[in-house]
Amino acid sequence: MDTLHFKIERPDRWDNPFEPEFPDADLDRLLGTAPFCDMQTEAFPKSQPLRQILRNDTRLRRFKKGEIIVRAGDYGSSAFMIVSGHARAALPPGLPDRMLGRRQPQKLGIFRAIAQLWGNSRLTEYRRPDELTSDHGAAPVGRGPEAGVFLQDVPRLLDQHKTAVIVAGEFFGEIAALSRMPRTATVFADGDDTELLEIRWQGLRDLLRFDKAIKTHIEQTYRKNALENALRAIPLFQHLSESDLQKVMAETQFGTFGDYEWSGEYKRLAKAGQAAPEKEPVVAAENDYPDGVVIIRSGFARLTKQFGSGQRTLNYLGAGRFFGLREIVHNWKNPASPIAFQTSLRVIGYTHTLFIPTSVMERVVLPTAPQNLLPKPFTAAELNLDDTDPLHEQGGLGNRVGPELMEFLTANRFFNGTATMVIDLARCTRCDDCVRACAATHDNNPRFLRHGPSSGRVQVAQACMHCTDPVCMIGCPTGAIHREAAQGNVVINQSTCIGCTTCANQCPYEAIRMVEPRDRDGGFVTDQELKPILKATKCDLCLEQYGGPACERACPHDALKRMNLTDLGSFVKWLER
Amino acid sequence: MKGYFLTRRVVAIVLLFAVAAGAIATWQHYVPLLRNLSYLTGWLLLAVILFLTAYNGRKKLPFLPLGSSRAWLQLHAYVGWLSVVVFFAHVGWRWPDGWFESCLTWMYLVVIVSGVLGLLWSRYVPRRLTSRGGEVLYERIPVIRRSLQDRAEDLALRSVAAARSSAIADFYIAHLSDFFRGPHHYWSHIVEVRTPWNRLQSKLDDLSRFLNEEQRLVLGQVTDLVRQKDGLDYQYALQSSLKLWLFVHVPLTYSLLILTGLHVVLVYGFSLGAGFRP
Amino acid sequence: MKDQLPPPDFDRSRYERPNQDWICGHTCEGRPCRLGPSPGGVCRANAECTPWLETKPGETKGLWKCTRPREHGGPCAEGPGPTGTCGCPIIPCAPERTLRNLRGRITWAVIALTVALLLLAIAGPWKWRFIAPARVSDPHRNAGFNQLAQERFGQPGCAGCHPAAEAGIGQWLLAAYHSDPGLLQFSRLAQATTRQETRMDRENCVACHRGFERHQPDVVHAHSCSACHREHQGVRMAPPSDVGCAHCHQDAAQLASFASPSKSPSADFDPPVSAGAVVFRTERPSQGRTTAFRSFADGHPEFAARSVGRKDPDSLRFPHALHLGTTVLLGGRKLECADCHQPDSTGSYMNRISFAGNCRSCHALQFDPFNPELTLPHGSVRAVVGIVESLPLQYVDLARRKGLRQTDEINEFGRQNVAKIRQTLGGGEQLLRLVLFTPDPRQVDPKLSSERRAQLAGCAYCHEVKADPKDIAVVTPPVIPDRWMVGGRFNHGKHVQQGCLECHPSITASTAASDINLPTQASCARCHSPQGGAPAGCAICHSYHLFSRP
Repeated sequence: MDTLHFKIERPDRWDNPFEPEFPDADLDRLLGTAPFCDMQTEAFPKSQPLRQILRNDTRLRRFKKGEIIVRAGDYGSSAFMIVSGHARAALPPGLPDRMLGRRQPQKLGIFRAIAQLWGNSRLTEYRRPDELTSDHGAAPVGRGPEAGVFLQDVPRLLDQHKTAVIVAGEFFGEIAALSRMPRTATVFADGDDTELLEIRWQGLRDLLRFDKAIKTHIEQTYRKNALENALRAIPLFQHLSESDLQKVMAETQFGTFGDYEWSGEYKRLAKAGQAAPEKEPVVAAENDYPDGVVIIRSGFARLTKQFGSGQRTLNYLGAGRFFGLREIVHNWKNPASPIAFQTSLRVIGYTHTLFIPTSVMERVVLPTAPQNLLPKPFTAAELNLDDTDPLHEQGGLGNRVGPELMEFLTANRFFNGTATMVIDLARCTRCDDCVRACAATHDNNPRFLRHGPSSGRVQVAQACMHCTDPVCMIGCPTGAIHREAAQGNVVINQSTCIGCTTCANQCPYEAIRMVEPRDRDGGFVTDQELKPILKATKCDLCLEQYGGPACERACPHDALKRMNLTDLGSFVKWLER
Repeated sequence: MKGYFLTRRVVAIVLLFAVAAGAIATWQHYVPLLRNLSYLTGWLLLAVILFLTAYNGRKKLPFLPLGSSRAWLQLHAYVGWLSVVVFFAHVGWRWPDGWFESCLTWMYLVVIVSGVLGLLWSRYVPRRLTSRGGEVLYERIPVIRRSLQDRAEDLALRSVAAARSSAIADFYIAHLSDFFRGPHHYWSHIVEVRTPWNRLQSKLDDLSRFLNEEQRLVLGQVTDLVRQKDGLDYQYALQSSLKLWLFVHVPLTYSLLILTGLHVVLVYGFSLGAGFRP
Repeated sequence: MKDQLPPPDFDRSRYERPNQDWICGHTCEGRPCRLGPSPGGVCRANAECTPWLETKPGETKGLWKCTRPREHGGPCAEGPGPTGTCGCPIIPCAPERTLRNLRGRITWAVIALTVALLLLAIAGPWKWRFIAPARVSDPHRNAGFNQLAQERFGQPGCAGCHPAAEAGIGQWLLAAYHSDPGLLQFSRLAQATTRQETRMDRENCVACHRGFERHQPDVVHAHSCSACHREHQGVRMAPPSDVGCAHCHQDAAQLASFASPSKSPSADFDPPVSAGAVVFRTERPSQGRTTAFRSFADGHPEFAARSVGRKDPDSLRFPHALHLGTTVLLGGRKLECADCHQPDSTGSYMNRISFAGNCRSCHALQFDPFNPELTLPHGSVRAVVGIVESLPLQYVDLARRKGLRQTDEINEFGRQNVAKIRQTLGGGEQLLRLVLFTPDPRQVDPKLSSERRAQLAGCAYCHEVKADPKDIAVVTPPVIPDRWMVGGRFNHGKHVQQGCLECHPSITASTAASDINLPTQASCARCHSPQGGAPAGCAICHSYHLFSRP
């Protein structure tokens, strides 16, 4: 047969070392310095000794003066610790985009917009020479994922921008790595031989688990830097007094679930047809005692309920959503007849959660909360309904979508998209007006493929969804792929893209495509070794154009829509037109 | 159809009838006043046709905020219906007698009728395509066809050596090689008739009676490819039909405009007020 | 939708570009090359890579390396040739147009074809058949018209009406631009009516149809000819519709504005009649005919001849009732209308009534009851006087006609009869008075039968006879109109299915010749109305061009 079958080896903890060859001498040196020398090696289990964790999940990297270590706004799965030398973090407002190799999309002037009628190249993927050379301010050096980017004219930069020095032994980037949030500041090497230990998230996770000091340190940092803002952003906590909030914060626990690099793993599972809700890690299970509310901080979780011998997906929850609040409110108001969790919460991909115990909720939060923010207790009828959605989650949206389509959206992680291109195949005449409009607005090059996974009459085309959790942005060596400042859409700066294909390989939706730019004669632009240059391309949501995404505006038949799938409501509305 | 689409259609149809009734009432009001309405309705008709043609222009300018294409299509369809009223008011609710004016009328009717049929077809075919499945990009069809052909040929060839029998290979040469070479059964797919497919299927069934277990396995794989090819032909037929109706609608629109241009010149040049003597 | 076929596998790593005009010719074989055709559709394929000469430090010759990228299979197995040629040359293809590009080409081709066919159509001999909206009416296309057009406008055919017709399309465009209203004078479209006189009316229509430009003497050319006369509608021009008439005659306000007394002499308003015809004239109201009405059946004014109190001023004494009654018999039967009223040669109207043709058979003008052979002449008082004064001679003549040959016998016959008539009617002067002035013979002989009475009647029996000192008597000449209602047309021939009395019912009761026994408007409208079913258009009876020809 000509169908390929994949067999997946049971993944082993030490299968994929971060650095293939970690020199033992360096390892010894590391273990001799703070904070590792202070760690109690006996606290680590025998199967995961500290030395092995360091060997497998860290690497030593040397940075030259002015070389960027992390960029504000980037996503990354690693934390850093300075071994020797020191680095500088740019304090707010941070460094300008141009210095970081970014380019904010500018709206075209009206004349330039009209000029696209005749000014677009007739060649495919034509690039002017100046479009291919990098912007001033940031200069990539080297090829591939290890390429470095250097800030230009560091002394002047130090004059004009406030920076803070980070010295040896200090960690940075750990919160962003663990919580899957964008980096908050740009850090660059200050000396010519700054040595850093890069710890990837798996290592960080284990260190956190087995070493009290680090755990305390990170939790303190988190509480100090991020938690207050995170809680204050949630309406239910906005009315709390400063002291009450402190009480809540003191009891709040953090949780990270799932695989940070879920996209790669998921791609393999999906291809093998093995992605199923039953296999996903459970954060809270149906029929368990409601010991606290779970707040999704980043990533996604799936709300399921037992039906038959499987799990029916009721909804997926994104950042800011609560789990278990209604049960706790119910029990708080009906102490005589407590109920258990009515649904389960399962992790999709990588999810970072906050957990606030029931006792704090009942003691501090609920008594003072405005009634309109609290969900209503369950009615007897709701509790008796086993096979439907007892929560009427957002008006029973999950049921209105239907189990198959719901599973399609969830299993494929399409809820990640804020501008997912959904096509109603029952209306689409395959006229390709959308593709032509896309090409017309992108110098004769389409930036998506009008094809993709489909379920029934719903097709999700392979166009950049501008994810809330942009996996593509993890690991871009030059910061060419970034969120633009105005609306947070993900864009790629063509001049700083070095064609390393990291983003394209990471994207689980095949929305990024590598192209070979051409010169004026139609030949491929090559490097000195005559190998074609590659550039990553994808949908930029027509940020430079007037009137929003051209594809959607060009659809004559109401078939194509760029949709925020993090909100199931708009999808249901579209589905039930 | 429900919700938004139904509301939109009802509102549009009510509006259309209101505007058409208003236009006819205005026309009837002006006729006894001896207004020479032919000029007015003529220019109105030309304006309407130019507006309808401008939809093509809108499609060529996707980068300008000229309104969404779906709004344009809605206007295109309903203003198209309105143009029928204006047209018959212009020709005086009768069939014109002159050759040239007959040409104009025919041309207009072909464009209008092709548009109406095209729109109905565009609403009907996507459902069929979707329920049949095998969704594919039109441009990729030749590549996929070729790959199916290669795989089928390969299976047929390998079956000879494996089973020491040329039954499958012979069958391939006799009945399938041509089938895999290009699109087939175009009109059967268009009108949704499954006869050719059933015929091919029964030939395959007949052959399988005379095969051993191993050969049957190979034939099963070939049958699978045949099914995929049939699905591909279905996509090809229906998708191309969705594109081909515009080969009538669009070129004739421009012919209509050219004829209209001559019509305007003739009407003015031969009008009662044309006293110009060369 | 559970039986959906799965989508087939294909390479999704590259964009599909339906916006391009050309696709690689190898696509049909399933192997499009990665370079693709140029925007102009020229195959650019040469080789899968451009090998690179790698010269390591210290080496002089270097080594050719394949540079095919990983995405396209990586370095090939063959490797570059020793001279740096690629080991995987691509066979050039003939790029193919995409469907969309083909549509564009077809569109241009259709445009070109349309233009070509149009040029052919308006250049060929069938040009007029092609561009004419419909056939021109026969009178405007026959030889006579062509000759007229040649004389008046210098060109035969269409140029007779359309000045630029023969000049070709460029001139047509100029003519269109200069026409009135012009091609681009959109502001005048809303006001465009058929009421203005057009250039064609002025310069072409009226040039031949002289005198037809007016409706009323003081309403000069209110409408374009084309408002009513629609040309290019077939071999016969359709009769004008009522729309134009109704425009004014339905509109009271507009009519009121025309109601001022006309400056033109009243006679100018008299409708034309054929020469010699006797016409029943009714005077035109000083306000003109300015009553608004909706249609013939709805509000049309009564015919002027039938207006209240109007009498026939004729002096002839003729009671229709008597003639159609049982008193008057012809050969033993009652008279019928057709005994006197016979249609004229066109069938439209009736022949003029004459004494000789219609009256004499009964009213033989005898005067001697004993000699009915003797009759008086009709038409001249002098002749009557002459006959009466020469009575003896008349008897002599009669005797001869009766076959008497002997002079004596003849004389005797004359003497006896003269004596007899003197005895009964009085002779000489008395007889003359009797013949000329006595309206009823019964004054002479009360016992006369009605038949004899008619036979023996004198002039005054029918005519108004006045004594005249010079000529003894003058007979007022009777006026019997040939046409009663000159404002409209009528065709008796088309109404033969109706009996006379249906339209002239009052005739059987009409005892005086002054009675006007014409049909009323209402009686016409019985049939000529939407209910009656007969056509009721204005032009059935009336002509727009209501005027005296100058």
